[in-house]
Amino acid sequence: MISSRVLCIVCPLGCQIEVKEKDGKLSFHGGCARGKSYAKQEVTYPCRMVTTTVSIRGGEIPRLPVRTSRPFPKDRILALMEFLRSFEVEAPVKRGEVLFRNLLGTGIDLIATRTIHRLEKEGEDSREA
Amino acid sequence: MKTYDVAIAGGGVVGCAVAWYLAHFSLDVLLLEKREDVCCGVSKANTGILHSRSYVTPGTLKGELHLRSLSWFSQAFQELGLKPLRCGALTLAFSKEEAQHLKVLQEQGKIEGASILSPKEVLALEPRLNPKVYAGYFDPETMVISPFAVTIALAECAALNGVTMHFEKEVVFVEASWDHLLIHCASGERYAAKFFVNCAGIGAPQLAQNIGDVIPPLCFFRGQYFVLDRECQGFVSHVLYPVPTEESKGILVSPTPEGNILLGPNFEPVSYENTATTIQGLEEVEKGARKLVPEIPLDKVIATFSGVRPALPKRDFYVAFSLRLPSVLHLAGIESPGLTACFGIAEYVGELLGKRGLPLREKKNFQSRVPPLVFRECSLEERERLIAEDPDWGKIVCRCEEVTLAEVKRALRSSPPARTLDGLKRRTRVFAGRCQGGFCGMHLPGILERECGLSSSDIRKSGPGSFYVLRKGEVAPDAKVC
Amino acid sequence: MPKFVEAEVVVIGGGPAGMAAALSAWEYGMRKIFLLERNAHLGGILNQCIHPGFGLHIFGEELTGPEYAERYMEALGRTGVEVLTDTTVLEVHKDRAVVAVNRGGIWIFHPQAVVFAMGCRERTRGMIRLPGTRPAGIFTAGCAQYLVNVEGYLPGKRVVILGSGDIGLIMARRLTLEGVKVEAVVEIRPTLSGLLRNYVQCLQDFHIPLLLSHTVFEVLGQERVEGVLVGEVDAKGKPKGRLRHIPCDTLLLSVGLIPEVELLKRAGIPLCSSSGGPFVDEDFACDVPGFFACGNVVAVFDLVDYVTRSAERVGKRISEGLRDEKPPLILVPGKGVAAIVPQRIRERREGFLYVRPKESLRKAKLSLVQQGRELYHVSVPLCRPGEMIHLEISQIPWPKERKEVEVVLEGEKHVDLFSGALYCMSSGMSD
Ligand SMILES: Cc1cc2nc3c(=O)[nH]c(=O)nc-3n(C[C@H](O)[C@H](O)[C@H](O)COP(=O)(O)OP(=O)(O)OC[C@H]3O[C@@H](n4cnc5c(N)ncnc54)[C@H](O)[C@@H]3O)c2cc1C
Ligand SMILES: Cc1cc2nc3c(=O)[nH]c(=O)nc-3n(C[C@H](O)[C@H](O)[C@H](O)COP(=O)(O)OP(=O)(O)OC[C@H]3O[C@@H](n4cnc5c(N)ncnc54)[C@H](O)[C@@H]3O)c2cc1C
Ligand code: SF4
Repeated sequence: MISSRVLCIVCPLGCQIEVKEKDGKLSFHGGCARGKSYAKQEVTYPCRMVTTTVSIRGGEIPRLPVRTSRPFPKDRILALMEFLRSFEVEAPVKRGEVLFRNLLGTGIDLIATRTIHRLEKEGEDSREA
Repeated sequence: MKTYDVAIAGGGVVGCAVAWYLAHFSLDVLLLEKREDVCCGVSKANTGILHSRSYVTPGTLKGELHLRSLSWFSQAFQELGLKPLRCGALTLAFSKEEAQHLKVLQEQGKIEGASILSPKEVLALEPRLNPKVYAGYFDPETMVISPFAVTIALAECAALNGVTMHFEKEVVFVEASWDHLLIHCASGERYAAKFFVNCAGIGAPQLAQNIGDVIPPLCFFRGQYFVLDRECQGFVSHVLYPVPTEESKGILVSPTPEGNILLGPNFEPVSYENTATTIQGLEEVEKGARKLVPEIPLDKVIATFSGVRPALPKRDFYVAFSLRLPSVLHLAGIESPGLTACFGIAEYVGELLGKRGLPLREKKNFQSRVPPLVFRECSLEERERLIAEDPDWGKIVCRCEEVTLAEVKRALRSSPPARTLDGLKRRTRVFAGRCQGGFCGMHLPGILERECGLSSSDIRKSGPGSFYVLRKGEVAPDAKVC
Repeated sequence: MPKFVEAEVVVIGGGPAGMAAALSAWEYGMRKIFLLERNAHLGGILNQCIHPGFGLHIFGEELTGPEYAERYMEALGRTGVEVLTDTTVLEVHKDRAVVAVNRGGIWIFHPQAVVFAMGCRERTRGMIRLPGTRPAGIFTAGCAQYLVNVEGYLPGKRVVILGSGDIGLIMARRLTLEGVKVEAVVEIRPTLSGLLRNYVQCLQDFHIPLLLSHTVFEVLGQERVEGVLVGEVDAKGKPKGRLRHIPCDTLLLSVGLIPEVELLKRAGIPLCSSSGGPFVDEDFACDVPGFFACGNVVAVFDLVDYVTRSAERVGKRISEGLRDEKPPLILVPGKGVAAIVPQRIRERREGFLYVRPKESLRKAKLSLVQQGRELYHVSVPLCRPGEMIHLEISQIPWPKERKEVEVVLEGEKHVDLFSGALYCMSSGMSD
């Protein structure tokens, strides 16, 4: 029998839920119903929304913030970061734009979270009031 | 190889003052500094008090040069474009015995307008003082100045008048060769000069030893400080001294020309040039400051720092020619009041070299330094005019001290230029305000890269190992997800 | 000569508070509105908060900071609000003159209403008197967050984080994802300051140790940070036991935020010592007529949703013009309460009362007390200093009498999961 504990973050109470496995069947001890379903997810297929930045060429700022379209499998997050290290886009980019489909074969996409215009030529700023 | 008339080792306030003084004459002068900028040694961390005649130590070289320096003040400040804070000082006695000492100070100074005050009079001048004060000595001559401002102004004025400066040049050895001296640097360069002045501060005894001279080893006394927010400006309006002891002038409370208040320094022996602050040291400073001003707002501390006094056992300055090489002059043990005495020291050095044959012909075209404009001190009309000339005056890069991009760019172009973030701080006050770099520290690297042509690896706080940020990709990943 | 500009409303600061305030003034019919922002872009702190966790209350979905900000930027684009970026306000005078500077020169606005929305800044090393040397490599966490997320720099290779607030926790994860080794998060208090969720997802996920009841006693290193001395503290904050040397090249400080109130001080606006910001009423009007303040300049709100809501209240009141105010009812923080916003109540009809608990309590009771008489109470199952409690002002039976009302929180001390001095290795918690 294997047991592990999950710290529930669904509500501020922060219960500890004990998860036991016996003959391939899971049982949960402690916490409420919502907590138990969270715990199940955590022990079977934990996922996290990943947010980071990628390089952007020709933009007003050097980094484009991005996120995954859905929570991403936790055990593959570092592989995703490795993949994104060399990933680059070209300005302009609009918020919500899908930058890459099916990241590492997960079916999850990469989404821009900020609109970045192309860098304008010199001399255009907010000089007039 | 060019032969300079004089080479100076050390770009502290003393070395820079010597360079500035010699720049008044038709001479080729070279200044070699171990660090990346001037004002990186003891001169960067002190109280910045221009001590008055009352604080001259009689019967010492230190006292003699201090006195001499005072008579230079008006000319020097004008040539250098410096504005000290003429705030005067109060020395405070808390007992009858201590009050005896106030008379000594008054006697010593014979300063016009100085007087010994009753507790009532003292409290009328400084209402926030400890009401237990027994007597006070008011001295109108004491001034305060930014120690960075003095050293940098001296260097800039010297450079403006033809002094050559090289940085990251640590002098390790000097030898005679024919009719001149060969000066060897750690990095391999050699320079030729007729005279050599060792103003290497803490490094002076070692350098003297390398040349074959013996200077008694230095002892180190650390002093720690608190800096209070500019918001506290006016909390006290005079330099407040306790009665001095044999060892030091004690823990002061002092206004600064920038509007901050400085508390410190304590006096603690350390075994090397250790400029760390400590909990105990800062507690001692707090206690000392509270003795003078019980309500001093310590919740308004924006920074703490410490400086180390390089003293000789006799507690006097040492200025003497080498016994091995007659055209080499050593200076050591230049502790407090080295800042105040710097002009006197420089003149004395000039005289000594003159006596050994350095020709001192005054230059006709000596130029005074025009101090850089400071946005924060300009009127709205002046600001408007500056921005019309150069829009960079309209870009604030430091919110606390209201420093503009134009001032940063000027500091990068000045001679000698700011080459580090500390250099920028000492010239423009970025990083020196209440957020201590919380704002400028996030915006400056990008601005320096995009607008000033630096690359991220050039952006350092001080020495070569002090990189500020890394570019992504300069780090190898080694994390694990559980 | 500086340029004089007539205006109805000037909003200082283009973060979520400033944007919402300008929008609300527009909605209530004001037309000459200027929004002044010193950075090149609107959005304020949100531009660097690329993590999710914004907008659950207002939009019902979890957005990242830039996404949340852009929704307001787009809304502003549909109005006639004049936005001046790269424009820093230097001073605000008692007569409501606002002096600003940009690359076009000096501007002096003279509006009927000034809205302060400058946000907050981070507490520094000097303020916590952290001893040691002064090398490169010491950053506030928010400064590092900007350098990483907006500029694409890294602060170093091996990091120790002092303070377990949310910004510190979020930076621990962010840096780890970027390949930086986070050695530990060190917290002087016996409990976590940030949200539990951030502990789980930012530290536990990456095996980053959390050292509770510990602090950094000394910074080591000459040019660059070379390490820190960390040790346990007792209940009084004094060192206990041996110090441990943790080698690192970077120290991030996540030791609190304070409202950025310098401009208010110069304008003579009365400030509240417990919140750090100005006294405001439920419409976020300051004690001096014609001045408003919203967002983190009033008090450090935990959620951007609260910030937006606070700012949305100013438009209506501005549109009513300067009016003779009745003296308000005054609220003060009592037992168990660190700060409250607003501290004044006038109309008693709309808006929220935000209460910051002093410590973690369970089975708590939040009550409003006037002269020893309880006016109202609600029960709070669990509260922590990191999460504000909010009450609807309309729900409270406000008294006629204008005597001070005390806000009090009482309950059982809640021993958090992470209480006590434990060296909390995440692996022990999740196997
Ligand atoms: C805590 C404290 C408080 C003080 N308060 C006051 C005060 O209020 N008023 C006052 O008048 N004085 C005060 N002083 C004294 C004053 O700061 C010093 O006397 C003065 O700064 C000494 O200047 P310096 O140029 O000799 O030394 P430094 O500034 O140390 O300059 C020496 C320079 O030489 C360089 N160097 C070292 N070795 C070599 C080498 N081999 N080759 C080339 N360069 C080398 C160093 O890098 C350094 O830049 C105080 C001092 C301390 C420590
Ligand atoms: C690092 C960090 C992480 C956070 N994470 C979360 C989170 O996960 N979830 C959540 O809901 N909330 C989070 N918050 C809280 C929330 O983001 C803030 O409460 C909110 O952004 C504050 O909005 P604001 O408009 O008051 O201030 P800011 O966003 O700080 O905006 C203030 C603006 O005013 C400008 N300004 C200041 N002074 C001047 C001047 N003199 N002249 C012109 N312009 C000026 C500034 O440049 C800035 O753009 C976080 C906050 C911080 C600091
Ligand atoms: S188990 Fe239920 S009650 Fe406990 S923390 Fe999770 S959601 Fe809250």
